[in-house]
Amino acid sequence: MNIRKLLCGLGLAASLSGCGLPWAPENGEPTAIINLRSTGSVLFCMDDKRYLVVAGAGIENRPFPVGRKLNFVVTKTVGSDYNYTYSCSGRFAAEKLEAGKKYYLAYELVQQGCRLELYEQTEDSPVGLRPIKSVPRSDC
Amino acid sequence: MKNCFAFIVVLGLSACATGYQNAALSISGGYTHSEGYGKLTKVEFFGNGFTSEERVKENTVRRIAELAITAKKPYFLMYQSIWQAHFGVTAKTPSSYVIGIKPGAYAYVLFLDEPAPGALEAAPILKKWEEIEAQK
Repeated sequence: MNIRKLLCGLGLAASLSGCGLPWAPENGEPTAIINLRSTGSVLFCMDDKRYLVVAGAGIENRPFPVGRKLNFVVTKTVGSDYNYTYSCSGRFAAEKLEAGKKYYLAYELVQQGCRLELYEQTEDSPVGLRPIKSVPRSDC
Repeated sequence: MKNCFAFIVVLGLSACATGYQNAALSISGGYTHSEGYGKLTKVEFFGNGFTSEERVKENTVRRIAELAITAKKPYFLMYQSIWQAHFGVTAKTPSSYVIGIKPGAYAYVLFLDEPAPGALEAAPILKKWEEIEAQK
């Protein structure tokens, strides 16, 4: 195993371990709200730093930074049977969130995996949720 | 003798499959639903390892039809994802997956008062299930 493979492995292990700095807006800092009801806690990368936003029952709507590219990662345990526990990581990169807007981060199970999607909550959509286009990821 | 043994095995396995039940009241799976995905309702059905993927999809549609009748909405539009709902891509079957050996299915639903292109009617779906139950 060369050093590059070792570093890649360590980086992957760190990204899956769920560690990240807590993020909270500074006084007066504009934010967007993301509903995390389907994801629970979320890791996101911004400016090469990794942050953790904790969510759960009763705290689903959480503030997020605006105007910058955000890379979201959600890893969930999705099931178990006799000797196995199954988890799946979904990733989504948003070019930027807009201040004052409300979003919904959707974690969906699909055949052979999972996916993460971001929607803006808006009356402009016939169903009240408008998909946000993803951009190429740059995980930290 | 062989046929008899196979019949007993199949009968035994089918008896272990997740029944049509509320998931909150069972450890082997069942249906659940939640509202508030924009204007959509998400309906899910989880099965155990003895339940087929086809059965969890059928049970999901059955539960959607029940919810529609309860809400006094005779029709519904079914979508496999929110993304498809936004773009008006309706589905005749829910989205499904298998985790290990356990299948699950879900759909996003918009309940309607009137028929619309791509909409399904709840009453005939429930009637079909009543006939199936009556034959048991």
